[in-house]
Amino acid sequence: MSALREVVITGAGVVAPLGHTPAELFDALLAGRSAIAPVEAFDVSPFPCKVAARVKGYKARDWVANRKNLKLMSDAVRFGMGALKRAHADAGLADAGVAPERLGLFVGAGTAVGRTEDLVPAIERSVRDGAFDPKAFGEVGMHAINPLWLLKGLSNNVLGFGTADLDARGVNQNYCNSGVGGLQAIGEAAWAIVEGKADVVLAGSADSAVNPLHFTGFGRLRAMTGNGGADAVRPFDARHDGFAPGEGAAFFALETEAHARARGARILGRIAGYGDGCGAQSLSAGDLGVITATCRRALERAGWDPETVDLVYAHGNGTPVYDRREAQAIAAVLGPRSAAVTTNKAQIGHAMAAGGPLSLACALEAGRRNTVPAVAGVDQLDPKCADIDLVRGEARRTPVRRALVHAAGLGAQTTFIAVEFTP
Amino acid sequence: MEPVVITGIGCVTPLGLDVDQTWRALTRGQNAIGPITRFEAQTYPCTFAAEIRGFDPPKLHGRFGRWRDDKSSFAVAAAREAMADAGLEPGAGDPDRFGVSVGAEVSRPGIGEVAERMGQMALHGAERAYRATDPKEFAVMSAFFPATALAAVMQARGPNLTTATACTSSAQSIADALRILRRGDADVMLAGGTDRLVEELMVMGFGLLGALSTRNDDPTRACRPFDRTRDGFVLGEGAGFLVLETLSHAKARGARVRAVLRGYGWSANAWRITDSPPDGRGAKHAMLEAMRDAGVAPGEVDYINAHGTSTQQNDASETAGIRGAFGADAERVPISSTKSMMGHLVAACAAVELIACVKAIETGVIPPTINYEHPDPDCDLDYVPNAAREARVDVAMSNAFGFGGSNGTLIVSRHS
Repeated sequence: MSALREVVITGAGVVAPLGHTPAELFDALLAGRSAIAPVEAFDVSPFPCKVAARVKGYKARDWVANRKNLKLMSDAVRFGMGALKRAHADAGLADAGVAPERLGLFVGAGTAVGRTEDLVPAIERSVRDGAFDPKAFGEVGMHAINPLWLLKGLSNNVLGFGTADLDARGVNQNYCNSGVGGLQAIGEAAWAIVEGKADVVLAGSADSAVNPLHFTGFGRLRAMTGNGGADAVRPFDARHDGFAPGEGAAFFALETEAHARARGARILGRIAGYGDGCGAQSLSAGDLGVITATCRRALERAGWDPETVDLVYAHGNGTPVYDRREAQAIAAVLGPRSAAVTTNKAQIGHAMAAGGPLSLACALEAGRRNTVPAVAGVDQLDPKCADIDLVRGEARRTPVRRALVHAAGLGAQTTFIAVEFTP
Repeated sequence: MEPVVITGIGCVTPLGLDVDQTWRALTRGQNAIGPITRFEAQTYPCTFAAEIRGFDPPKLHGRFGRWRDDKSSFAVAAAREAMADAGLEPGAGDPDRFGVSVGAEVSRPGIGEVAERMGQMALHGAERAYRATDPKEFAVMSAFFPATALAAVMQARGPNLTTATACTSSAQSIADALRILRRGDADVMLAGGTDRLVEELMVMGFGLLGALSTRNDDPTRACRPFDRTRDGFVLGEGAGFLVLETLSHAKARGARVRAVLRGYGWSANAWRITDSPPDGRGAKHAMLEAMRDAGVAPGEVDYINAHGTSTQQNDASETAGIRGAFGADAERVPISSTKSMMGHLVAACAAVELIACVKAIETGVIPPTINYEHPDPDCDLDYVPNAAREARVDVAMSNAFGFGGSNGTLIVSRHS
C-alpha cells in the first residue's frame, strides 16, 4: 500500500477516432463500431498496411487560444490541445483557484515527425548539374524553408503550447518513449502530486501514427496489419497479423483526494498503482519476465491481491508475438482467466503514446458503467492466448472496481497503471 | 526520505572522451569550438560548432552492436565509464531494481540522405524506396532508443524513461531518477542525457531561427555567455551519465560516494516556445523549488553552473532569475557557463554540467566562463570570467532551461 492511492482523477478529455468525449468513445466501442478504414490522406500503395483509424470532425481552432500557433502544430499536437483543455474543463479547473505555480502538465509525446517533407522545395533548389549540392543547399536551398521549421518538429510542443495556454507554471514533463510515454506521464504525474509538487497535474498524451514515417517504420518491422476493412485488426485472435495505425489524445486531471473533496470535484477514479520496466533483450516482442515483474510492481503499489483485479485494459494491439506475450503475462500474474480482458485497438487502432491514456479513458467509463466492451474481430482465440478471459461477442455487464491498464512500447518498455473505482 | 547519492560519473564531450579529459580542459579554459568539419557548412548561417572528435563507438555484441546511431553510442560510452567508476557490473546486482532515465531527442537524417531518397523515389518509385528502408531505422532514430540500448547493455529491467524537453531534458531525466529512488521503485538508476547535434538539419534549423551565433570569422570566441556582445548559442554534442543510488544501497556495497544529489526543481515558463520571460520568473521558480526540495538556503550555495547559452535573452533572463531566487546572495555566489568552452549539448547539457558540479566539489576548482570581455548591465553578477577559480564548494546548483519552456534545476552537495 502506498501514498499513491491519495491521487484521484477528477477530469478526462479525449480526442479519438469514434469520439471526442470518453462517453462518446465508449458508446461507440460498446456498439461495436470500428474507425479502421482505408487511408486517403496520403498514398499508401508502397506500404503493406492500407488502413488506419483517424480522428474525424475535430476542429483544433476551437481549442487553441493563440491561433497563430496552429501553423506550428502537427495533427497530434492539435489533438493534444483539445484533449488537454477538455480535461481541464471537465475537472472544473477554470474557476478552481489553483495557483499557476501549483498547476502542472505531464505529457507522453510521440516520435516527433521529422518534417522531412517540408525539405522538398529546398532540396529541389539545391540541385546542380543533376546532383544535390550541399553548398547550394546552404546558400539558396535552405532559405526556401520556413524559418520556424525546427519548432514544428519539437517533441514537446503539447507541453510548450499547453502550459502557455493554461498558464500552468508548475512541474512538467515530456516523455518520449514510444507506446508507453502516455502512461508514464500519468504515473509520474501522480507521484509528483504525492511529493507535494503540485495541487493539480494534467497528464496524458497525444500522438498519431497515421503518416508515412510510421507506415514505413512499423511496416518494415512487419508490425502492421496487411488486412483491409473495418475488422482488419484482431487482437488475441488466431488470425491476428498486426496493428492498424491510429491517432488521438487523452488527458486527465489528477489531484489528491483531499484537494478534490475540498473543492467539491467529482472523482472519476483513483490511481492506485504504477509500474514501469524494460525488457530490452527483445524489442517488439517484449520480455515475459519483465512484463510480469512490472505488473506485479503495480499491484504491490496498489496493495491489491492479483485475483481482485476485475478488468485488464490490455495493450492488445493485434501483433501475434506481442499478443501472446501479453496474454501469458496477464495469466501468469492474475491467474488464468481471472480478470476480464479487453482492448480498444481493434476499433480505434494503435495511437502509440496516446494508446495507454485512451485505454485509461475507456477503463474509467467501464468503471462508471460496470460494463466491459467486447473486442471486435475475434472469432477464435489464438491458442497461445487462451489463458485470458477475453471479452468477445457482446459487451459484459460486470462489477468493475479495480482495473489494470497496460501499454507497451517499441523499445521493449512496459507500463501498468492500476486504477480503482469507489462505488 | 532516503538520501540519494552519486557513485559514478561518465561523459563524452567535445572537450574530451571521458570525465578526466573533459574536466582538465574545463579548468584550463580550453575551447572545443571550431569550424564544422563533419559536413560542408561554409554556406550555412552558422559555420562552426563543438564537434566530438576521435570517438570510437564502443564495441558491442549481438543486436545492439548493429542497432545504434551516434546518440546511442555516446550514451553507451558515457554510461560504461559511469558504471565502471561506480564499481558496478551490468545488472547492478539486481536487474529488476535497476533502471534507466535518459534525456534524448529524435535523430534527424542527413540532408544528403533525404535528397538521395527523394531521388530514388523519383527514379524507382515509392515502393522500392520503402523496401530499401532499413527496418532498424525507425527504432534507432527514435528518442527512446538510447534508453533501450542502455537497458540491454547494462541489463536494467526496472523503470525506463526518456525525457525530451529540449535543453532541459537531462536535468529532468536525472530528477526522475532521484524521484524513483526516493520512492523506492529502484535501488540504482543510470541517469543522464545524450545528443548529437552537429548535423545539417540541426545547424540549419537553429540557424534559420536565428538562435545560433553567427560570429563565423571568430568561432573560438563566439560563445560568450553573459558578455554584452553575445549573439547566440553554439551547438555541441555528447553524453553525460551518472550512477545514482540510495545511500543505504551504496553503503551496503561499500561504494565510494562522490556527492549527494540533494534536490530538484521544475517549472514551466508558460510563455512562448522559444523565449523566456524577461523577468526570469520560470528560472527563479525552478531554483527556489530545487532549494526547497534540497533543504538548502541561498546562502549555502557555493557555485551555480548556469544554463548560460550565450543568447541575449537567456543570459539576461537567467541573471534576473538568479537575482530573484537568491536575493542579496546573488552578488556573492560564483556563476559560470561551461557552454563557453564546449558549446550547447542540448539534451545532454545538464548531465555533463552536473558532472562539472561534482568535480568542482571534489577538486575545489570552479571552471570559468571564457570569452567574457564586455560587462552587460543586464548581466551584472560574478561569472568567474576567463580563468578557473579555487574555492571550496560544498553545495552546487546546475540550471537548465529549454525550448518549450521547461526549466530544471539540480542541487548536489559534498558527502560528509
